[in-house]
Amino acid sequence: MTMQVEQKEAEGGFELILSGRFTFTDYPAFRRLVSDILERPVSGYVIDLEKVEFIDSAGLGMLLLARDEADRKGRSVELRGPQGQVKRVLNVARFGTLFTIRG
Amino acid sequence: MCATAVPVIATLGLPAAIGARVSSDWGGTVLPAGSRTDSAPEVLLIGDVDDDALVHCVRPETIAVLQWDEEVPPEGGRGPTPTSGVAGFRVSVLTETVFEKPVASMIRHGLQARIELDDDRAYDLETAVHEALVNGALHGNLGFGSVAEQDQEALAWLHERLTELLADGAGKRKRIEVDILIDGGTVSVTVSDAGQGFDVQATLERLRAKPADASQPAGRGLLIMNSMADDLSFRKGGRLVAIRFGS
Repeated sequence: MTMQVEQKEAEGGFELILSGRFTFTDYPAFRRLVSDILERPVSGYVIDLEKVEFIDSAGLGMLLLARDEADRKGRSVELRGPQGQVKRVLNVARFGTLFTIRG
Repeated sequence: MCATAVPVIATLGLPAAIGARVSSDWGGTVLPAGSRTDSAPEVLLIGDVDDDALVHCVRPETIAVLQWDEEVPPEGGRGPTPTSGVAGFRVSVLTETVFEKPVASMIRHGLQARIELDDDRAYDLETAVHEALVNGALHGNLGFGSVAEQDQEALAWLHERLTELLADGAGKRKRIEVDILIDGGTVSVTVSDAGQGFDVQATLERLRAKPADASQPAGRGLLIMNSMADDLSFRKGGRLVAIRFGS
């Protein structure tokens, strides 16, 4: 019941493409990913949520953690493409005030 | 309770011997594994099942989905009592299952097998029920206190402690029980844990007092539950959360 991850180099940055369910159990894997990305010489990265089917409060916590870690190193994190349940949960938690979220 | 027909029990991902034993203990009829008969199973005893089978296991006639465990038999080992006239079903799982399996997703599919529910509402329900399950497992059965005063590292700490507690703590053998009741257009879900309860009043006050965004880890699950449900209340000193959808 864990999420799947694809990593992609993109023009001027880096993309983390998540899919599946993004919940509490994904914490260790996600934490590692976030640390690894910040080792790269990029100014920021995008977390693509389009294929994420379900996110819970712990998943939200992990997105905030990614943002805070990036902030500490002077990098940026953007969210992209939340759909359905994920979009609804991000709205409820007012993530639009905490992140740049692109369609 | 008037005498009702003995329930028809089916096992999923369990050795056949367990089915036979339960049928004699509970006085039900157990369907042989994988059988296709006219008797639709009303009680599902769950063992080691994959996510997909679990998510789609609830049928319109199902009254209970019970995770089997030798040490902590479901329903106090007596077998479920069919409640005639009430539309709904009961789910009983062990603490660790809440983290390992898509239990709330199974509940959503089970509801959608019975009633018309548009997808948005169905996902609101799944989301709220999932948060209630995780809260009950984490703060109830496993006895984690509030992480209100901690920062993002709380998640790391929580995860580490969770791994330890699930490995050998007593909480892992406690159950989370969910009752889903359908009454016309209203769905009521109660989630009960076997923990110590919590200070409901103080928690609700903190929820109301916190800033308008979700940047603080405290109460994020509660905030989500509260936003998704039409009504949210706590009973039994916080050991039971009742979530209502519809008027």
